[in-house]
Amino acid sequence: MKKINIKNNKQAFTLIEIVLILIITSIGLTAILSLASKSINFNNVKKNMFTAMFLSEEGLGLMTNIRDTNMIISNYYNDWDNLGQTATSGSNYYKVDYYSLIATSTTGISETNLWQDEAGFYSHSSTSSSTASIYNRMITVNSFTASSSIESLVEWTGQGNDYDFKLSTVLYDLSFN
Amino acid sequence: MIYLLIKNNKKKLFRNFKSGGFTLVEILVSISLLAVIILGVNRIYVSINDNQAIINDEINIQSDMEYFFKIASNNIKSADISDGTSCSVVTTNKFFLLEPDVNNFDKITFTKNGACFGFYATTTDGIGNIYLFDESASVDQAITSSNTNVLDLSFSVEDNVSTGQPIVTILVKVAPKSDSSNFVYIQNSISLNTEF
Repeated sequence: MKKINIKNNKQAFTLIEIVLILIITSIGLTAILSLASKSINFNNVKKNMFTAMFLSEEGLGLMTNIRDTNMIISNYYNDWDNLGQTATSGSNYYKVDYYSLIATSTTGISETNLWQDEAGFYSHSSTSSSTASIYNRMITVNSFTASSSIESLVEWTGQGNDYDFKLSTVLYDLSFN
Repeated sequence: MIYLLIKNNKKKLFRNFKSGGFTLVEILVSISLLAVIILGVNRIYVSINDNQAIINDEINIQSDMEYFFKIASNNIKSADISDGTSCSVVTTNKFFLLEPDVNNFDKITFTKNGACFGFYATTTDGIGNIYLFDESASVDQAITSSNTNVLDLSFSVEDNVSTGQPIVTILVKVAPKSDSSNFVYIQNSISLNTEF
C-alpha cells in the first residue's frame, strides 16, 4: 500500500489561491447585488408600463371617437384627419389626442411626443406651461373600404432602455350605405 | 492580507502555532469576517423585502385603477342625453356636468335611466378615494381600496352631439398609501356608445 503523501498538508495558502478565492467571492457578490438593482429597475419599468398601457388604450378610444364623429357629421368613416377624403391604402401614420379629437398625419414615432399640461393631461400640444413626458404615441392605420385596422403604439425611454406597448383593433364603417 | 501578515510574523507573534487550537487573533479575524458577511446578507434581505412591498403597492394600485376605469367606462359609455328635467344639474342636449368638488377634484354627473349618477374623489384621513355617486342611494360607494391614495381626479368632457360623438377623458394621479411621492398618472378617453 502506498503511503499518502502528507508533506504539503501543513503549508499555508499561496498568494494565487487567496487571489482566486477573492475573485470567486467578488463574482458571487456582484451577481447578487446586480440582481437587487435589477429588481429596483424593474419596478420603475413596470410603473411606466402601467401609464403606457392606458395611453395606448386611449389612442384606440380616440380613433373610435373620430370614426363615430364621422358617422354623425356624414364624413367618410376613415377620414381620420378631417380633410374630406378617405385614408390612402397602405399604412398611414397619425398622432391624435383628447384635446384636438382630430388625427394629424405624422412621419414617424419620434415626432409624436406627448406633453403634460398643468392639470396633468397628456396631449400632443406643447405650451409654455406644459412639460414633455417620456412617452411617444403613434397610431398606424391600414384602411380598407369597409374597415380599418388600427394600431396604437406607445414608446418610452427609461433607465437608458427603450420600451414599447402596443394595442390594436379593427374599426368598421358603420354608415351601411 | 491579514493571513499573509499572520503567516510572516507567526514565529514572533504567536506561540504554539502547531498545537491545534485557535489563537485569539484568528478567532477575532474570523468573527469580524463573519460579521461583514452577515451585514451584507442582511442588506440584501432588507432590499428584497422593500422591493416586495413596492411590488405589492403597485399591484394594489393597478387592480384598483383597472376596476375604476372598468366601472367608469361601462357607466359613461351608456350615459343618456339630458332633456334638462332629469338630474336637474345637466344642461339640455348635453350629457355631463363637471363641477369642482370639496378637495378641488372634479366631480362628473350624468343621467342614466332617469336617475343621477356620477364619480368624484375625496380625501379622508389623508387618503384619497374615488366614489360612485348615486342620487337614489343614501351612501356613496368607494370604488378604490384603502391601499390606494388618489391624489387627483380630473375630467375633460366634449359632449356637444351636433359637432361629434361625446367623449370623456379621465386623468387620475395615484400613489400607494405608504408613499405619496411615488405617484403615477393614468389617462384614458372613453367615447360614448350611443348612436345618433
